[in-house]
Parts: sequence; C-alpha cells; structure tokens
Amino acid sequence: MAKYILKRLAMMVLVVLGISFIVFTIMNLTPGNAAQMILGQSANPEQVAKLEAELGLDQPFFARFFNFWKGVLHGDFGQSYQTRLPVFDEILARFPTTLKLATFAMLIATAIGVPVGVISAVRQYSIVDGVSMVIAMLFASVPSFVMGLLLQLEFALNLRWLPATGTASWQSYILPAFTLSAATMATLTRMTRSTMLEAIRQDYIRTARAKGATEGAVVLRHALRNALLPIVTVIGVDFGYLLGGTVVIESVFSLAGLGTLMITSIRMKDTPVVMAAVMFVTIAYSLVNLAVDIIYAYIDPRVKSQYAKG
Amino acid sequence: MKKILAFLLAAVMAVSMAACGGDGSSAASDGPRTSMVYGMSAEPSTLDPMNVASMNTFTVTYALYDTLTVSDGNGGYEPYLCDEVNVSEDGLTYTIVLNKEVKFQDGSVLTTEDIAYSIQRTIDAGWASDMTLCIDSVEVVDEHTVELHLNTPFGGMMGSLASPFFSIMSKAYCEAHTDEEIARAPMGTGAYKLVEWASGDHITLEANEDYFAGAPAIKTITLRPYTDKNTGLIALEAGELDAFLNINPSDIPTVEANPDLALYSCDAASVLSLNMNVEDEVLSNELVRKAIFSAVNKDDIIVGALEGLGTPANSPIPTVCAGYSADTPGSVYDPEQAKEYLKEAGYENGLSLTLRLKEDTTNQKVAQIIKSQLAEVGIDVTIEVMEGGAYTNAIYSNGDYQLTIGSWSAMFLDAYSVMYSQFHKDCYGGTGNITHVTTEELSSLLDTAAQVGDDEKVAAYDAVCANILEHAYHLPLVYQQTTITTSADLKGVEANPMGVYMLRDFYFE
Repeated sequence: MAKYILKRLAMMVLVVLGISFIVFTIMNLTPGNAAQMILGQSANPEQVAKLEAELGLDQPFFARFFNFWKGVLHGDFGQSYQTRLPVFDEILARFPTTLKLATFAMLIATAIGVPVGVISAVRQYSIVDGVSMVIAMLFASVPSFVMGLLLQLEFALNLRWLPATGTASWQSYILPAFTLSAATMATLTRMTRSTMLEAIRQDYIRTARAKGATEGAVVLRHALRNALLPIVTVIGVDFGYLLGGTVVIESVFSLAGLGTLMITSIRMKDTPVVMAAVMFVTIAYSLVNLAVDIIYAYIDPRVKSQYAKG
Repeated sequence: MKKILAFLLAAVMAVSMAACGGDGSSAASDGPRTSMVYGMSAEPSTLDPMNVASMNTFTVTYALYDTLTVSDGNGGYEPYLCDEVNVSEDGLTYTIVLNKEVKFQDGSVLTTEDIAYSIQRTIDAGWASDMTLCIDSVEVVDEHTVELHLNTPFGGMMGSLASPFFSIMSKAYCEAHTDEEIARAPMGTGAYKLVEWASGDHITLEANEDYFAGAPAIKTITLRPYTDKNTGLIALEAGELDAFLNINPSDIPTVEANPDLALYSCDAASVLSLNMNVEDEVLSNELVRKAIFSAVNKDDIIVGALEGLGTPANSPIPTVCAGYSADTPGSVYDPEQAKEYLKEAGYENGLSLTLRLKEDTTNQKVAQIIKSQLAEVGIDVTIEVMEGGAYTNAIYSNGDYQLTIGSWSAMFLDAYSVMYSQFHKDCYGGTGNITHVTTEELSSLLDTAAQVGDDEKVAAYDAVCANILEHAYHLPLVYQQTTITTSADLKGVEANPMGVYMLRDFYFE
C-alpha cells in the first residue's frame, strides 16, 4: 500500500511539471501584454517597455520558464504582476472560501443524494422514485447561475431568510453551497439508484435474505456497500473539480474564491498567479483522487488485494 | 425521502431565521446608520493613487488621500488641501499656499515639502503624463508656499490638481516604505483610513476622526467587489449593499419602483464612438469616412442597443467637460448622401471593412446595428470580437484595425482630458491616438485649446471639433448615462459623470 502511494505521488510530480509547461505555453501564446494591461490603454511605449523589464517579461520563453521553476524549488512562486503581492499569499487568501464551499456542497450532495438514491432503488417505480428522478433531472439540467439567481430571489429577497451575497457569516454559504451541490446531487442520486438496482438483484442479496438478515441490514450492509464504489468515484471527482473554484457561482454570490482569482488573472495575463493557482488545483485534485483510491481499498477488499500484489 | 428533505429544510430554515432575528433587532436601534457597504465593479490592484488607471479605484483613493483642489460643482475648481492657489498673469506660475491645519493620519503635519514631493512623484510615475507634460519644475519657496513652474500655459491645471493622480502623500512615509507597501498600506490626509484589505473579498475603511475638514458622518465603509450586475442588484434589494454603480439599464424601472432604493443618473464623462484608422488603405480616403458618417443613424443605436438610454453625440467631447458646446454640428444621417460619397470615391459597387471590438454585450449590439446600417449603403462590415488583451494589443500597440467601437473616459472634467491624447500627433498609437491622425493643423489647434483660459475654451475646442468632423476622422455616436443606485436612506449622493465618488460626503438619514 505504501509503495503504491509513493508511486502515485511520484506520478503527481510529473503531472504538475507537465501541466505547468502547458499552462505557461498557453499564457505565452495568447495575445495581449501584461505590462500593457496593467498600465492601461493610454500608457506610452517607454512605460510599457520599462515595466516589461521590471517584470522580466523581456526575457526569452525558456529562460522565464526555467526561472519560474527555480523560484518554485526555492519555495518562491513569485509575485503577481498586478498586485505585486506574493502569489502564494493571494492563493491562500482565496482557498479557505473555496474549500468551505466545496466541502459544504459535497456534504449536502452526499447527505441528500445517496439516501434518496437508495430509497428510489429499493422502492423502484413508486411515487418517491418518480418524483426524485424528476427532481434529479431538473437539478442536472438547470444551469447553476439560473438556479443561484432563483434561490437568491426566493430565500434572500422574498423570504429574507438567508444572505444573498458575501461570506460574512456561515449562513452566507448555504445558498451558494446548495446551488453548487445540485448537479452533483443529481448525479449521485441517479448513480446510487442504478448501482443499487444492480446490487439488489445479485445472488448474495438473496443469500443474505435467506439467512434471515433484516431488510435494513440487507440494503445497507450488503447492497449499498457493494454499490458504493462508483459513488465514491463521483464524489471524489466532483470534489476535486469544485476545489478548482467555480467562477459562475463565485460571481453570482460575490464570493472571493479561486475561480474568480484565476479568471481575472487570465484576463490580465498575470502568469505567475495563473501558474501557481493551476498547480495548486492540480495538486489538490490529485490528492483527492489518491484519497479516493485509498478509500476504495477500505470499502472493497478485492481492490486492497490488488494493491498488495501491485 | 420527503420526510428527510422536509426535516433538512426545516432545520436549515430554523437556524437561519434565528440568526436573522438577531441581526434585525440590532438594526432597529434608533439613530441613522453609521456604516455602509459600497459595491465596486472590480477589486483595485493597488491603492497607490499615482499608479491607478481605474475609475473604480479612484473612489477609494479619494477617501484615503486629498487633493490640492476640488471641483466646485459648477465646472470650476477651488482650493481644498491648501489655502490658496494663485496663478500668475502669464499662466506659467502656480503658487500654492499651505493649509497649516492639515495632519496626516500618522499625526505628522503636512508641509510644503510633502506637496512638492507628491507632485514630483506624480511626474516621475508617468501615469498622468498628459497632465504633467506642461510642468517644468516644482519648487518649495518657503514653509508656506510651493511654486509650480509651467513651460507653457495649461488651462486644465486646476482640474489636473483635483485628479487623484495629484493626491498629496507624506514624503517621510513614502521614503520609509517601498512602492509595494505604499500600494497595500496607504497613509494620507484623507477622511478615511484603511483598516483591512482582505484580498478579493473586501476593503474596510474607518473614519479619520482628526480629519481637517471635520470627521465624516459614516464611520465604517466596507467596499466589496460585485462583478456581476444582477448580483449587485439583488444585494441592493436585500439590503446587503448601500451603493452600486451602473446597474443594467433594463433594471432601472425595477429600482425606480422600489421605495427602499434611490437612483441617481447623469451624463457620463465619455463618448461612445466609432473610431477609424485613417492610415488604412481604404479609410485614408476621406470620402469613405464621410460616407460612413452619413450612413450611421445614432437614434437607432440608442433604441436598439442602449434601451433608449442616451442622447446622440454631436461632438467628440463629453457634455460634462469644460469646452463642450451643444452647438457643434454633428454628423447628419443621410444614406443617399453616403451612397453619393461612395460613388465619388469609386466604390459604387460596395466595399468591405472589418470592425474589431472588445467583448462587451452592449458594444456588440452597437456593432450589429452599425453593420446593418452600413450594409444599406453598400459597405459590408465583418465584426470581429476580441478578448481584452488581444484587443489592446491589436488596436493600441499595433494599430492593426479598420474600424472599432469604444469610449474614452475623461480623467478630469476638461475637454483636454479626452481630446489631446486621442488626436494629438504626439500621442500617436498606444498613448491614445488610435485614429492615427497626425496633421500639424489639428495638433496646433489642440495645443492652442490646451493653453487658453476658461473664457476662450469653448471657441478653441469648437475649432478642434470642426476640424475632426470636417475630415470625418472619428464619429461620435452616443452620450451614455452613468448611474449610482443607493439605499434610500443614504444621502449626500450626487451622480458623478466619471463614476468617482467622495465617500466623505455620504451620510445616512
């Protein structure tokens, strides 16, 4: 197991290296000039040239990429072109909001999606099943900004129960987290339902019933545990995705998360911030995926035995 | 399942209601509020007043720093941070008399050294080069007076001194800190001090109780970025925001019907225009440009793209700038005349042009309408929408375009601020003159207009506009409105053409 984890971590380094090169190249190829963007449209060419030299933008592509990595290996991700603040501080300032939002959203999605999926499967073709499948379809297809605005209108403006924007209190996270959870919730419900339907038709379920296990035990211990693998995958992938920040939701709810930081930095050609943010997200995503793989081993002994061999 | 859902919803609601109840009771306490939330369109990248290019940030730097002069509200300027500004007969020397009562936020007293240092810093920073070009030297005469020596008379000097670029900073503080520190930890004489800057989330300002002009009424101001206009409006309606600029025009009726909100509007200090590259092979032909002038119907643009908000522009000068004249004859819509011009230019079978513009919903609509109008006279326009960085690169740095739509904003309310950079030969290309017009005639008219006093300004700029319109260099389209929407109990608000607000004037009722 430890060997497996080490192997995965080593692969992560390669992934980060590769991604950093791709992002750096893209940032370099897209038109636009960081110095010009900072100075505004009315800047004269001398000012632009001076700032370019200051930012090191006048150096050749590979020299800049090499310098970037030299800094990273010394624990220095550089400064933002825009704010001149250390890039890492900028990211750390935004990450808590994104982390809270992603965690909260995944909790909501799992807490509602999985049980509803289980019930739908156990009571297939009942009214509960029908209604929950319709709602799941709706959640999966309504664009998140529309849902965000609708929730704001109802809960913040009409009922005045929750704040519409900002992060002043923990209640502020309820609407954005719910909006964010909707799509995952829908996927989870449908995924749980279909894998559960498959599981409860298996022979071992008949065996469990035959040996006299209660219906609850049959569903939860035997069926759900076997159906859990794809569900955990979905949770892992979506959580990793949310950790990358969600531009639309952050904009609709006026939150300072990683998504907004990345978008504004891309627009302003602020390469150091984009690089660091993408690398940060890559690492977070890889770690979540690694965690998911480890969790597999605990859920399913068959997977664990594979690790032992590998 | 329904039970689980119902339970969860009930739990969430109960908790949030309990929390809201708490907030409600404290807000109901007597007396006007003393804290407000101001919505910015984007987060400032710096609070160094001399390195800023965004109007949005100026509202913040004006709260932290003061300027030597301020607008008197009637097109003139009066001394603010100093006792007097005296201009010599020849217009070449500005004598600034120190106000001895002013203290910086760190308790030190404002000196003439600070004033001279700040002006020199502005000149060195180079961001306001169009305003500092005429300044020859800054001299500390004694501990009461500073003299500004100009190399040529400049009618916009008093206005320039009121612009944020000429904010007065502390020499000692600036010398003790790096530019990066000054950008994040400003220290001025202003009515507000910076308390906290949470990157991307908010900036908190606190009243400076020792402010020389009296402590402001609102004690705490939180400035938050609201990048989405719909969200801004919802936050206003929910009472989470007290002021927000330029809501979507389609939302104006909603705001006007809401008794909890107030809307203030005025003409913006900018002109939405169709720029033409006179160095382009086709557009170097004046007849083609004149054809375009006659083919564009500005009223259709206002109705079709701007929800009826705006007035047809008759001049490249914004209506609110000194030097504007309502009598300037603008272009006249006459498609038949346009066809005549094209025929005369040898394009009776039509021609094709490309219109490049930055991604922007409103401007894209304007472009569509212009495309259809030009199609009627036989000009086939291809619209090319570009990402911000690429646009700036193409239009400003490389001058690679035929037509573009954009608006140039005044940095202070004088025609000089929009006209010199856009049409003077010294500002060719990236500095602002994207039309690429370099005639001596126009440049000398602009030089004259920059130098004359207030009485002759209108006449001088009339000559400039006449030249621009006669040669059809640049087609002014629409004067747009700028708005600020506030909580109804926020007072002391007056719509500002540049969208820059003096937070110290705000108070609650």
